Amino acid sequence: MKQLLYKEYKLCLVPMVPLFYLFALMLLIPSYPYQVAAFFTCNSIFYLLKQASLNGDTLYSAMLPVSKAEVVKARVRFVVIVQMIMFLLMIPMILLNHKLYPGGNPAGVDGCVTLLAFVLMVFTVFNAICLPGFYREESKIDKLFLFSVIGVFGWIILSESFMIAAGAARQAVPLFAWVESHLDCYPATDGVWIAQLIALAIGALIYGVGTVLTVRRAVRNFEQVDL
Amino acid sequence: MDLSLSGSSPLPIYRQLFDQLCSQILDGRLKSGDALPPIRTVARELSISVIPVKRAWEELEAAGFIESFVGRGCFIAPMGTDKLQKLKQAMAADKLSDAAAYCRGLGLSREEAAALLRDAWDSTEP
Amino acid sequence: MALLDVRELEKRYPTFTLDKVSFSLEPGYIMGFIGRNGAGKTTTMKAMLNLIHRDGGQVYINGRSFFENERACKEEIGFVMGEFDCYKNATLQKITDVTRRFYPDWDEQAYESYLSRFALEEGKKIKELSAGMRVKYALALALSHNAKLLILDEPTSGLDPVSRDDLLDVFRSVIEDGSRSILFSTHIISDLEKCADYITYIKGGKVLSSTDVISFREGYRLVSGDREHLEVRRPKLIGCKEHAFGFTGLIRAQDAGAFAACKIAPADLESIMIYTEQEDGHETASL
Repeated sequence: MKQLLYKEYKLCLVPMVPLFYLFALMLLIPSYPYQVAAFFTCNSIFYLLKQASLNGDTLYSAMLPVSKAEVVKARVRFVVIVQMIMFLLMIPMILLNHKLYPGGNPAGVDGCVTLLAFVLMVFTVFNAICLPGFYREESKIDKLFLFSVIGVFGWIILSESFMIAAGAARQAVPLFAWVESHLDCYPATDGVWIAQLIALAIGALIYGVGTVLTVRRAVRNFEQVDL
Repeated sequence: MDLSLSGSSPLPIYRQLFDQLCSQILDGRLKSGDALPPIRTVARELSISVIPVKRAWEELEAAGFIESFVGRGCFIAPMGTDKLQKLKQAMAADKLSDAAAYCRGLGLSREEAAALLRDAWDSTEP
Repeated sequence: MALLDVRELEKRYPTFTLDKVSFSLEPGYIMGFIGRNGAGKTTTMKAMLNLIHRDGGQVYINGRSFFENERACKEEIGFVMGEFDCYKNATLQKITDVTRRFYPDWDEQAYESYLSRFALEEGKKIKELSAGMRVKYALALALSHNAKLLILDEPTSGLDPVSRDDLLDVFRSVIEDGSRSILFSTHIISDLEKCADYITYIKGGKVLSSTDVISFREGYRLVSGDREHLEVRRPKLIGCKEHAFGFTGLIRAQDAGAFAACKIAPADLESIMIYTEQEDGHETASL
């Protein structure tokens, strides 16, 4: 596994991956659906998969003394590492965002712990669509990316609209009022912290379970593939 | 030990090896007790596959020219003058039967063929 | 015990079936794997290594099931599928640096000696190498981790005659100590003549014959004769070519008695293959 991760790093990593971490700076934009920053990390993973496909990486890997399942597991692990780095980079950006715009974000969820939970959802949706498909038919990577863009933006539009709606209708709907005061704000009180950390825990759980299921499906697909 | 193979010979490689070793044993260039190199080394040196060498060695062993010992390799078999003489005659008879069949095919008589052999004998005298 | 034992390997495609392919190879020998394009050579090799999903059969490496011990078995195998065609923009040095980590038995000294023997420069990128050099690089990688078994798919086809001859020398020295074996597919009959100990001949996804070279050749005879000898004996001919003055054809050695009136000669590998591949068994040369 260590060797396969080294291979990912030395032979598969494309410059877009580190470069697109700069999109974390989007959290410094005054009013913006900040989850889009996480989408760019997914985009860089698409470039990684695309380049790997052009480079004949799958055949090279399958010929190494590893099982087909290990090839898939190492790739998913590498993708998770790439995503977790973005996740961690977003934490200081959230702090900065709050310093710059203490009034919050009218274009969607505020820079807060809830945003991190949403980011994990973005990653989950992308992985679930892109990775199992890649290991069924890697030549269809472009089409898969299109589907995952639709999936990811579907989630982003849905979640951000919900937050905007909550902001607009907080007086009318009690649930929206609670969302506004507990999830869509920078955590200041213990109650808000707890609510947002629970949200993050749910996000992490979905990401974890989603990744396990994604690996399982990708391995099953890859076992059947004729290289 | 001298071995040289010809790609243009109609004889298969194992037969060429067999013939060359036979004649070297019969004319005394290889003496009983001499060790033969391992078959894989011979194959590599001659740039041929292992099987023909193995086959040649097997036939030499079957004909009584060499002995093989597990783990030690192959050696030229000890031969009394009697046995040597018999092997020589068998080899010569084999060659001459081809020549006899050829003469018969051309319609020569037994005496004519024998005379030709005598002439050939004289002309190759060193 | 056989170093490689392939048993009833099956793969079904809509238009092609690998039909219970079986053969085995003892340590210390070279096996040539021959057949026409599309006969199933590459499919067999890939199915053996789980690169394509098999529909049935088993492969044993040194007595261990490949599919149950994939990792350990792959460490003992050096596999080359034509030229090295991955990571075109990476240097040899980089690729080797990654690859060597996967093999506990990596032999750096052997690797370096193959690099210089094959005149490969580590600083070059894959895309800067010719097809022949890419084959050599793939071979250098496969030869440098003390693999017991080398499985090579057409290793010589992109090489010039001098490099090919040199490579065959490498093959013979690899097996010289008697513990390692090579399975290689080829179209080049002279490669077989020069170094194959065993021949496995595959046609239409089926193994026609798998035996040592001498038995393989001695199983057949070339016959030639007048046309008048031809008609009654046609059913016994595996393949034949007719011309204005007579015919030449291939028969099984045990049928030689029926051709006593014809000229009979030992069969060479090339003729065996050409006549065997004649679709209907009787091809008439147009004059």
